[in-house]
Amino acid sequence: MKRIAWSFIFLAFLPAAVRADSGQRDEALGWLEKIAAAAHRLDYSGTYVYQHGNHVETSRIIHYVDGGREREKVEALDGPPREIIRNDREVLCYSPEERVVTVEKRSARRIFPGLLPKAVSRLTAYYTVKLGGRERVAGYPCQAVLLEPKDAFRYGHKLLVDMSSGLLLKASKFDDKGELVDQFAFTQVHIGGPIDPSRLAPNPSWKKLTWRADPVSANDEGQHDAFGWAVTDPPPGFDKVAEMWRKLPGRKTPVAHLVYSDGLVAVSVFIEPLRGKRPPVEGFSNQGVINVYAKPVSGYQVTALGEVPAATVMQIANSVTRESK
Amino acid sequence: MSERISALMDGELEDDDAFGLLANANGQGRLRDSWATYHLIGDALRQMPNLAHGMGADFHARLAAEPTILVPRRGNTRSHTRKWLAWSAAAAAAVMAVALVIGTLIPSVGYLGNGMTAPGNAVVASADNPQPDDTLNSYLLAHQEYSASGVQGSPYVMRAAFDSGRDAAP
Repeated sequence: MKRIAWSFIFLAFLPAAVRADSGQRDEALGWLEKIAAAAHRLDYSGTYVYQHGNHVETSRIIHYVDGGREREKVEALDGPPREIIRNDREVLCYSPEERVVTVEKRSARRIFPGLLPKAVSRLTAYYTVKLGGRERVAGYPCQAVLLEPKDAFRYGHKLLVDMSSGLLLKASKFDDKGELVDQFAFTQVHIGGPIDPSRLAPNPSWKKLTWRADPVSANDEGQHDAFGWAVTDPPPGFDKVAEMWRKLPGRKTPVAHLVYSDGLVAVSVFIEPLRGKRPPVEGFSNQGVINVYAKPVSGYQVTALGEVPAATVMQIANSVTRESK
Repeated sequence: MSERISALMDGELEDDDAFGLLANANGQGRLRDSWATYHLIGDALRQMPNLAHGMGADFHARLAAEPTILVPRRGNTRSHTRKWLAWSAAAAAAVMAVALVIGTLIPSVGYLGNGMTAPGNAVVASADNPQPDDTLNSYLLAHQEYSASGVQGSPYVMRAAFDSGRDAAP
């Protein structure tokens, strides 16, 4: 079964490469633009599965556009109860077992199916965009759009888009061997309203709980001027999209957090002073879909991580330097 | 003395103090017991809903997640060797106490990476990190704000590991 799946993926990527002409590329780009817009403009509700490795989780999503304002609720259906509630750019993440609510004031979180950036044309610099075949997902006939990486610093993407609405119904990442890295897929979805806005409220039984704010969300924005760290030689296309100081638990000093993105995926870099009790850490680790590379740099511990190939986190961590003022 | 154990758990003792306290604790069953008890209390507070059933599985998962923070540099370890021995004894005692209480086996955790690896299983690894090391967990959580992962995030991220155990001290 697995083998059949891989050969299918292989076939899906290969002939498209041969046939692709500019007309097809324009059509594929048109689909990308539809995908980018539809996730934010349409009302929809449904259930999707996210999987990577042996890990599978199911979530229920309700997306509602309220006079131009986007409202969204994502609820974990298995594992620990958890809800993400979005009002435009403010995102609240509830973890009732830990009584923790994380507040992201101007969140850059990408929530499936809203995975694509607004400026999709920028992606063509680092990915070859191609039209794939047609498939059915969750009962809807879909068009496949393929994003093949132009270098070894990113994964390939296969997007399946509902042909009538433009909503992204399935998104898969593949590594350079064509193996699945991770995948979002709707199993059931209703596209279009009406949606009762009361369904977007957090679980009513949680009102009784005493919540506390997650310390991770407490960013110290006052110190931005004195930032002083930079990634001098990131892989092509990875631009800095955010930098901040974070107060992480157990630290007396804030931790520097820089974020680099090629528009599709993000890499985080964390920098903090080496602490006496802990030895410096150097090497790779793999946390599910996330690759991690850590190394000490002039008295600081640098850690880069993201849903990217190991080469990407390594190059980013290796080019972290202190800016001289 | 209880306060000092609690401070040790929070990582607030200087190295010398911690070393002295641990040397003491090794000889005194009562101190060793409080160390284990405080950790259990901490776990209970953080994992309330799971304590009655399934704590074993939770413990497995947390233990599997804790030593993920890669590998210490070799050159650095020599001067710390004696300290690690003391830490090992204390940490192993704590781990064993918890393991006995919940009647679970300790899984061995393989390291990924580039051959710099020395320790072969989770117990040794946690002894290398005297405090439970939630560094990577906190990084992964912070990263989620910029990534497209599932609602649960990485299955290795356990938010409970965030609390330093401070609220567990009586």
